[in-house]
Amino acid sequence: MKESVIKLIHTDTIPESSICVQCGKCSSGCPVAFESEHSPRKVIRFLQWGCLKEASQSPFLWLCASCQACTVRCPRGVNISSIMLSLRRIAQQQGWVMPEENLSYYKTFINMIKKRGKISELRLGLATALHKIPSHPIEDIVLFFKLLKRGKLR
Amino acid sequence: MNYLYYPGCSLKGAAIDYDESFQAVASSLGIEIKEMKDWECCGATVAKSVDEGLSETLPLSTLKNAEKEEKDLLMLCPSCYVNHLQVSLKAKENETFFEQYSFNQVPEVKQLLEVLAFDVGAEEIKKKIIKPLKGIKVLPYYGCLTVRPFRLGGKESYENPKVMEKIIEATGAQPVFFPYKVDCCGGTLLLSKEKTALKLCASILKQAKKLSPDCIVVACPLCHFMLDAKQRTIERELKEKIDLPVLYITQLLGLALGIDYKKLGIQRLVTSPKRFLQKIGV
Repeated sequence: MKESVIKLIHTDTIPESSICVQCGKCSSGCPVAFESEHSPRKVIRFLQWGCLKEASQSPFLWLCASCQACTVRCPRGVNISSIMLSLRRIAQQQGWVMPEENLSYYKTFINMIKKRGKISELRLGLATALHKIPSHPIEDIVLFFKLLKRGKLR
Repeated sequence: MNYLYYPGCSLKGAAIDYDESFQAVASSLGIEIKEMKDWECCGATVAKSVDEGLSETLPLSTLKNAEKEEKDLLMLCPSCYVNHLQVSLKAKENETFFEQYSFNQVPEVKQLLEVLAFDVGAEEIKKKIIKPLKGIKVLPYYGCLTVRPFRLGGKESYENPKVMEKIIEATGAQPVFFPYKVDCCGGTLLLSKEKTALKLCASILKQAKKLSPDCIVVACPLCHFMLDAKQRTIERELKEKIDLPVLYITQLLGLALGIDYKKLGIQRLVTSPKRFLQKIGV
């Protein structure tokens, strides 16, 4: 493992994964685990094995809604949500993000904060729709006009 | 009760009705607020996913600002609240961090439900109700970040919080027990994993519909967007009519406090609250 990567791991909550007993409580209550071949338990297991790259490339990472259910329920007190966020950052820093992941939303969001200090939901929504066609485009166009009429887009 | 009010991006955009109804209700309840003018985005979940440094510097500037004002910070958006609270706790616990940003006194960070339930209190609210919402069934929905990872008000249960129910009771309405009240609405995934987000929200609306409430009440702009604005899309996905109005807790309170519905931004709701308003005689 590269030294820079080891440094990364030691500065955050990733070492906490070593105390996980693999009970699976995180995964049974996870609202998005059904969407992925990996559960949060499995991602933690990768870390226990020292497979940082596999953990960072898990499709589960970008599905995590940061709802914190796993974190407050873990009987060992592992901060699972925070580990998922750390892995997202490591994946980007090390260039491990899988090609099928579309991170345009994250990039647009960050650029907007850096440029204007605030988020315009209108611009963010439009920019994201340009990168990825919404699953219900007609409903979204109708909604766009409804929100506009109600003064909710500015 | 004197707070520095941090609105945040949503409250000045799609959740403008939350901002309006809060400001209208605050003065009736004796909550004094000074609205922050030069605020920055809190970074939501995105900054934490991309750049750890940025996810700390964004809330820091707000905290420093509040320190100058010598007031507690009040946030309505639970995402802003969690991000600011996290950094404020770090400043309190970590001496190097405290000194690095030359804090004297780290301001307290509070969320709306906490202020309503514990600083004002359901009893006080009850005394000020002019138009009790008798016979109205209200379904409380907390979502994630109002109750996790920090206990609401430092004491509520993660799995079965009850403060919203107490506030609903204070308005004279009847709270409905909703077993899915702390489940995730998927809002944070809406722009990155849309299909997953819609599935999560659909399951909540479907279960809510089974309890046939008169309205759903929320305290989060993202939950509101998912349940209210996206309701039509979800009806399409479920091939089922939902037709449930979704109000902010401040809008429900405002109606019971006798405030005009236009001042509460109720005309801005996407899913029509017409039947609900008729039932309460507005």
